[in-house]
Amino acid sequence: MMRTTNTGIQIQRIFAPMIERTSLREKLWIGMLLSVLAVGMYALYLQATVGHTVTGMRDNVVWGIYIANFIFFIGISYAGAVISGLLHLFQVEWRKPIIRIAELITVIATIIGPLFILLCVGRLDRLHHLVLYARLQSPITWDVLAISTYLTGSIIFLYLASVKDFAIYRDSTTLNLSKWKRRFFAFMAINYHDTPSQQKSINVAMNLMAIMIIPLAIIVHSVLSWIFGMTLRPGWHSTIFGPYFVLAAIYSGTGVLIIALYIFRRMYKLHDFILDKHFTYLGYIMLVLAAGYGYFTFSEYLTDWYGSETWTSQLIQKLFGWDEYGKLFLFTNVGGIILPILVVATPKLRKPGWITLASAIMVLAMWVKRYLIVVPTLETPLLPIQDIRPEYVNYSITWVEWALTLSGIALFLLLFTIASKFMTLIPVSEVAESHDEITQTK
Amino acid sequence: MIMTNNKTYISSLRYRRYLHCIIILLAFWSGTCMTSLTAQEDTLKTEEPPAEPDGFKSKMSVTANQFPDGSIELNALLRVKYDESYQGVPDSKIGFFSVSPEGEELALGNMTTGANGIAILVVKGAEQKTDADGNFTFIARFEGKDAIKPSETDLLIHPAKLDMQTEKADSIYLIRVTATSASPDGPQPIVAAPVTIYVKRMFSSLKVGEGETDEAGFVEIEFPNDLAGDENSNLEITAMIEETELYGNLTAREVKPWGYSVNAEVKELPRALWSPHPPSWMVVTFFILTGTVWIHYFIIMYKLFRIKSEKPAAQP
Repeated sequence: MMRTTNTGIQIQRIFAPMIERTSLREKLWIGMLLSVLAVGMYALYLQATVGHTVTGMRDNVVWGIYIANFIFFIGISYAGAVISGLLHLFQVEWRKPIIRIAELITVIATIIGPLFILLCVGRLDRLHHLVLYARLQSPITWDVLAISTYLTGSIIFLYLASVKDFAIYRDSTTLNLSKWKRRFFAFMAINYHDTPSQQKSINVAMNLMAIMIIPLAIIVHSVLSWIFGMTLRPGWHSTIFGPYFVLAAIYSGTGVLIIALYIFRRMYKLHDFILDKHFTYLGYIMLVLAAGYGYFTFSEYLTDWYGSETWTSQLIQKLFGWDEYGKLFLFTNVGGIILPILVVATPKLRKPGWITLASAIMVLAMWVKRYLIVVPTLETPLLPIQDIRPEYVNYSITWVEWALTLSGIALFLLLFTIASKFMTLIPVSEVAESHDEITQTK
Repeated sequence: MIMTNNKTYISSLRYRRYLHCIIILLAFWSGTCMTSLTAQEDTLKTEEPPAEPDGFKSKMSVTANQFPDGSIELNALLRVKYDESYQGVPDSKIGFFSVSPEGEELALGNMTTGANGIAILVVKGAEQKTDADGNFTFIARFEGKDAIKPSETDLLIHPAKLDMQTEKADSIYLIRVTATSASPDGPQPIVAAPVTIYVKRMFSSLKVGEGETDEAGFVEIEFPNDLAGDENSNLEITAMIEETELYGNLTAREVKPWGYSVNAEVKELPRALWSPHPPSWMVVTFFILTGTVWIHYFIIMYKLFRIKSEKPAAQP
């Protein structure tokens, strides 16, 4: 029988309405998300039947918003992998209330990200060729293997961190659970009763996974960057693309985590658990990452600009040209680098609201940055294209692509909502043990 | 004191208001930027060329190649105008006919056009009837199909041939070509006709020499001795008089071991994306990395199995 403290019972009471039943408000919310998904399904149907001509992608610009979304979602999955893994390894106490949300972001984002690759594939009927004719020397093969391994690892990490909680829910007298849900929790708790040997096993497994997940996450995003870096295209063929992508991923992951914490804190009145200091500490992490990311960005574009190599210069002109991508490029640097630094560095602005607002603008800027990595380079071909329609040279996002992008976001939120029906967003077992100490240091 | 506090308060308010403005502007700007992503309207529309009420007009052209053995190769090209340019029509039946002196059409056979819109028929010149001037008349006819209108064309050629002889003198290769046309009085020389020598390469023919026939219809052309042949040094040499109004194309071919042998031994490919096998260091690194991760996953699974199989202690 798993016992928990009063804090554990308090957390269960907060989340009980969500776990026990689905309210009308939740039903409406799920209905709205399903409506967005339905529009996306129609867009997907059009894309599958009419072909990729319904998207903005053409012979010249073969990748567009889907690939930008793919990199973005894999990037935000770092929220759990690195923040949670690293803080677990260093035994940082304040991590405990936020790790569940971070790990959920990781798993769900890692599920959603690759879906955008599938949307980008022209011949889905040949998808199995990826396995049948896999070539180890292809970065695409590395990517498929790395992401599937990373997803498996993230699910295991989330599960390990939740086993104790499942056991608490199973034995809970606070939660008024339906039969099938109690059976589900009993199944997921795998006979865990917090015996010393079980504690030891779960701790060893958690430590192993915390160690594994960090290099794994770094490898996954490096491999992702090498899809670009291994090609001889202006703006892509760069030796710093691996660390640049990794840093950008941790950065945007931290931003999404801050936004999620802010929303859930307000929504479920979690002010006793998600404290101001969580935002401040995550803000500090964001500040350091922003500085590092800014340094990489400056280094990357200074080198490209100084070299004056013909094709690279064309790309730089596009990115700096006010009539082309100049506005977006400036926004990525101001909103994505300078603003978060300013907000966190100014003591008066170091408040949850301001930090969250800066994070939201930063996350949007990071998405735009992914777009600017993908599209302008493809619009700068090594062999110039002449006498063809402008639509073949320049890319513009169609409604089908927007619909599927919004569907991806809707699916992310839907999976988060479903997950919250099966677990408390604050880990009961972790927080219950240390809550007294947290309250004292608040 | 109160004044100072008030001043600080007012300046902090102002400061905060400025930052408010900056951040709201940034948020607004980000929205504007997002909309600019879609600013370029996708004007692409798949425009099908409007079909004429009674179908597309087709265009037929036919050429002939005459060989020394008297055979004639008829090449019919069927095209339609599509998207402002003529394109070959594949998979269409072309009927070939010869015309007798009396004007009667004699069917030679039907051929189907390939992907490039060309249908080829080879006939024996000796079996064809000539008109009073000794000319052959051929007709290529397309009966029409689907939305494509019928079309036909004819070709009038005079029987002629190229005779090619080769000679190797020390390290010099010579090609002697005689061009003659048929007449009731026996073969007549074709005078002042340009003769071109080609060698077949992988994708097309390489022009290696040219000359002009003299009064006897004869020309001698030197052939290069530094060409790559197949593994037996063979080269396929073609002499041609091309696209004459009277004779069409006159062609003669011969295979001679005049090239240098290219070793057919398969050499190891350089490192490239299309290499059939990954380098060994990559395979080793891959298996070490993936193996390490998955072995740890299995260890963790084993730990979970241990947890599951443990019997709970008796409750106090």
